[in-house]
Amino acid sequence: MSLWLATVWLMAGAVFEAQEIPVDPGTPYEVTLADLDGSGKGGLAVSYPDRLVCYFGARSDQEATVPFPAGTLVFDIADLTEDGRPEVLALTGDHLYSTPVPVPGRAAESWTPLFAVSSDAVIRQAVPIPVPLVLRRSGQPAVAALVAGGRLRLYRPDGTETAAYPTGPEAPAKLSIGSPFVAVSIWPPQQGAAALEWRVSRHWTGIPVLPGDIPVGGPAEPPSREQLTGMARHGNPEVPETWPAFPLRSDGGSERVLFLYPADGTTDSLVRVRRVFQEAGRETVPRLSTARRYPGRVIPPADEPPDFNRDGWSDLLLWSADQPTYTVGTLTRTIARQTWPVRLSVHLFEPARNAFSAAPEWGVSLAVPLQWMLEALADRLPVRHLVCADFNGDGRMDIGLSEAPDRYQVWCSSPMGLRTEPSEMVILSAALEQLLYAMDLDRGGRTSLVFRTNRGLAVLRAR
Amino acid sequence: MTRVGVGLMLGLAGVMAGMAEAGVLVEVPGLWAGFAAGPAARVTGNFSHADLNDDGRADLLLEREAWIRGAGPGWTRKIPLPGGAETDAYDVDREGVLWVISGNRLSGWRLAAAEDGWEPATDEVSVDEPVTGREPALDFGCARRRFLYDLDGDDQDDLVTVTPRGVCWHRRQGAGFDAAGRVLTPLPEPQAVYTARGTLWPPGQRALCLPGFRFSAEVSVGADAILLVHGEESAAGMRWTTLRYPIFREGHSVKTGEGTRDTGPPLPPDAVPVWLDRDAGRPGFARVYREPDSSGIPGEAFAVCEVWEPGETSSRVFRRPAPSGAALYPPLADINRDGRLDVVLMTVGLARRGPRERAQELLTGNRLQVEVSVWFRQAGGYPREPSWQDNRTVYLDAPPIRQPRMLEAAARGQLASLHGDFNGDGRADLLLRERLDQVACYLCDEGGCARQPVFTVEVSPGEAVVPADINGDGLADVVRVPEPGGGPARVYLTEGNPQ
Repeated sequence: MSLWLATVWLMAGAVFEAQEIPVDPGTPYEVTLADLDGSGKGGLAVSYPDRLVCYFGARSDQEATVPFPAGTLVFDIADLTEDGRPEVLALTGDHLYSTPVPVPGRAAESWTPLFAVSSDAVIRQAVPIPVPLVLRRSGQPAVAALVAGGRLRLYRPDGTETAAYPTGPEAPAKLSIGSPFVAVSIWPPQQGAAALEWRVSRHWTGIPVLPGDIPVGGPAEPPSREQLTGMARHGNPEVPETWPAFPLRSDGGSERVLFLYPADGTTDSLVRVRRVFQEAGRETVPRLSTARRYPGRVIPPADEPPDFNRDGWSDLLLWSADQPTYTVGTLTRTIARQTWPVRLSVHLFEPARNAFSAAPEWGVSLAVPLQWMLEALADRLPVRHLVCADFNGDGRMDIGLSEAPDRYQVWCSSPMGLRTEPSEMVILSAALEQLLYAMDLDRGGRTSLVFRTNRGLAVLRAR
Repeated sequence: MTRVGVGLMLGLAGVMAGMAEAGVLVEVPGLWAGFAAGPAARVTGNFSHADLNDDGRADLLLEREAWIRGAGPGWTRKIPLPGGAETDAYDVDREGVLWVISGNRLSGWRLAAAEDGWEPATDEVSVDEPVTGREPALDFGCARRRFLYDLDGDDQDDLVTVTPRGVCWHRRQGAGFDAAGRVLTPLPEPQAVYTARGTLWPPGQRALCLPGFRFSAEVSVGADAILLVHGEESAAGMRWTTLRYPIFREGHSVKTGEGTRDTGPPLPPDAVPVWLDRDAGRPGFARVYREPDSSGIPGEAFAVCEVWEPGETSSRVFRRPAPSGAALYPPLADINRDGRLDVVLMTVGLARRGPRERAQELLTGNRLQVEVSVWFRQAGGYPREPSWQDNRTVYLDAPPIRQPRMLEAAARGQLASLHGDFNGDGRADLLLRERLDQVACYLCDEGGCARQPVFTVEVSPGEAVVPADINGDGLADVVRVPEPGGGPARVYLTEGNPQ
C-alpha cells in the first residue's frame, strides 16, 4: 500500500464505520441480529410493540418495516419454506403467521396465517421478543417448533404436526431451575395485625429431555463479569474452590485461572493456576500453583478468554487505579475534571513458569469518569464495553473499550504485540449504554459492535 | 445440672456496656437477623416467640432450640426442640403446644413441668397433603412457619395451609385436625412466559427457547377475609390484582363467599405491593431506586421512594440526595406505630461542598453525614414537607481515600436504622453506628430524635447491627450479627426505660 493510500485509509477510520440508528423515544423495543436477505450475513432487526424494523447489513439507510399481526407474542426471522428467502414468523395467541422479509424500501406483503395453534397461556410482554421458532434438523425439512398444551410440537409449514415432546415441570428434564410451587409463611404480617400471610411463588424453567438434534437454549446465563468480580471480592483466600475462574487455554478445556481480590485495601489480585500435567505411568492430577500477587484487578473474560500472542494460552487483563500523589490540588483537579486515572495492562502466560508474566506486555493509561470509579468500588469495571476480539481481520486479538460515555477506542495488535496508541477513537452523538452484540456480521473475520445508546442504537461496523 | 439444664444464665457471662441504660450482652448461637429486601423496612430472622410454660413471658424459639425466659431480661435454660432430623417446620398454638411437622404428619408437644424436655400432647396425626408445601432448603434445620389459626372462631387453632390447590382449612377436631382440607380460595393458574430472548443469528447459535412459569402472589388470611394479591406482566406494565374472598362462619363451619376482583393500573415492573394502612382492603405500591444525578456533580445521585396509593395511577415521589455507593435503606416503616407506613429516607454520604473542600474531605476527612427525613403518614396520605429532618455524623476509621471499612458498611446499608422501639414509648428510635466499633441509640418522638444517646454498645468491626426484640419483652434489642463464620450472634438486651 502506498503511503498516501495508507494515510487516506487511516483518516477515514481505520477500523470501524460508525452508524447511529434512532429509535422511537419512550417506546420499548427489542434488538436482534438476523439473516434478513438469505446471504448468511447478519442484519439488524428492531421490534416495537406494533412493528418490526429491519436494517439490512445493519445499515440505517437499508430499512424495511413489517407491521406485526395484532397480539404478537414472539417472532422469528428464518427460512421456513426453504426457498432461500427468509420470512418473518409471528406467533399470536391462536395462529402462526408468516410474511417474506421485505426488500429495503418496499412495503411488506400481507401476513399469511400458516396454521392455528393455541398459545393463549403465554404472557404477552411489552414488545414481541425474538425467539427461534424454526427448527432445521440435519437432512430434514425445516419445521416450526412451538409449545402448545404443555408439549413442544413440530409442525410442517402446512400445519401438519410431525412430532410432540412433553415439556414443563412434570416432564423429564435435563436441567431445571426454580420450583413449580413454593409457599413461605411471612412473619410479622404486613396486612393485618394478626393475619396469617404467605408468599407463593411458582417460578420454573427448564430444559426437557429431547432428541439430540433439537437444540434448546439454557434457562440461565453464564455468570457475568459483574458476578465474577463479586465472587472475587468475597471469596475465601484459604479456600480456592470459592475463587472465580476462567479457562487457561484459549480453546477451553479443564485447566483454569483462579483469581481473588484480597481484602487488604489494595487493588491487587491473587492468581493461581490449576493445570493438568501428564506424567508417564501416572494418572493425570490437576495441580494448583501457589498464589501470586499482581498489581491490579483481574478482568474476567466476558466469553472466550483473551490470547493476545496466539500461543494457545489465555492471557491476563488487569485494571488498576493509579494512585497519584494525593494532595488537595491533585484531588481538586480530579474532581473538577470528573475523571480518575486508570491503567489497563496485559500479562502473558508463561507456560514454563506456570505463571503470568510479572511485567506487563502491554499497558495503557486512561482517564475514566469519576462516577465509573465509584461504581468500580462495587463490582463493575471502571471502563465500559470492554471487548477483546479481532476487529480488523488480521487474525490477532485487539482491545476495544469506552473510557467516556460517548466514545469507543480500539487498540489493534501488530506482529509486535498490541499497539500503545489507539488505532481508532469513534466519537458518537449519544452515550453508549449497553453493548448488545460483538459479532462478525459479514463473516469476514472482523468483529462489529452493536450498542444500545441513550437515543437508540449505534453500530460500529468493522471495515 | 442436667443436660438440658446447661441452659445458662447467660446474662451473668454478659458484658455490661452502656451509658444511661443498663443492659446485658448475651451470646445466642444459631440466631440470625437482618433487614428483609424491599421497600418496607422489616426485620426478618430465624427467631420467634411463644409462651411455652404459661408463665406470661415470651420464650425464644430458634431453629433447633427453645430458650426459656427467666424473670429478668435473659433466659434461664435452653431445650432442644422435639422431632429430630425429619422435622420440616413447627408452630405453636395458643395453648403453648408446639406442633412439629414432617411432611403431612403432625405431632404436638408440651413443655414438661420440670422444663427440662418435652411431653407428647397429642398422638401423631396425619393430613392429606404436606403441610408446608415445598420450601427453599434451610441451612440450619427446621424453622417456625405460621399455619395455626383459629379460623372458625371456636378458640382453638385450626390448621391453615397453602398448597397448589389453594388456601386449605383443616378444622381442629379434639387433639387433631381434619385430614381433608377444605379449599377456601383457589390460586390463579400460572401463565407461561418466555424468560430468555433467543438468538436468531448466526445459524450455529440458534437454539429453541421454551417458556417457563413466573407467578408470585401474596396471600393473607385474616378474621374477615382472605386476600390474594398477584401481578401479571402486560405490554403496558405490571398489573396487580387484589382478590378478596369474604369469610363466613356458620357454627363450626367456615366457607368463603365469591371473590371480588380489583385490578389496578399498569405500574413499573419494580413496584411491589405494600400495605400502607394496616387492615386496609387493598394494598398500595412502592418502589425504591437511585436516580442518576442531573447536576453534573459526580456522586450527586438521588435516593427515590415512589409510592402509589391504592388504585391510583399517579405516584407520590420522595427524593433526597444520596451519593452512589451507599446502600438505599428500606424507606417504608411504621415508626410511630399507628398502623400506617411512614416514609423514612436515610442517606449517607460526604458533606456536599465545592471541589476543593470535597478534595480536602477525601484526603483528610473522617466523617460521613447521615441525613434522616421523615414523612408521617396521615389519614389523607403524606404531608408535603417532611415531618422532621435530622443530620447525624458518623466517624470513619480512615480518610475516605483509604477506603475505610465504614464505607463498606455504608455500602451494605448497615450504618443506621429507624426501626426498633428501645424504650417502649411506641415510637421507633434511631440506632446509629457512630464508629466502626460503636453503635449509639437515640430516642425519638414525633418531633425528632434526642441529641444525646440513651446508650451505646461496643461492636466488632465485622459485625452488622440489627434492632430486633429477641427476648420478647416488647422492647427492641441490639443484635450483633457476625460475618459468615464469625462465631455466634450477640444480643445486647435492653431493659427499657420510658425516659
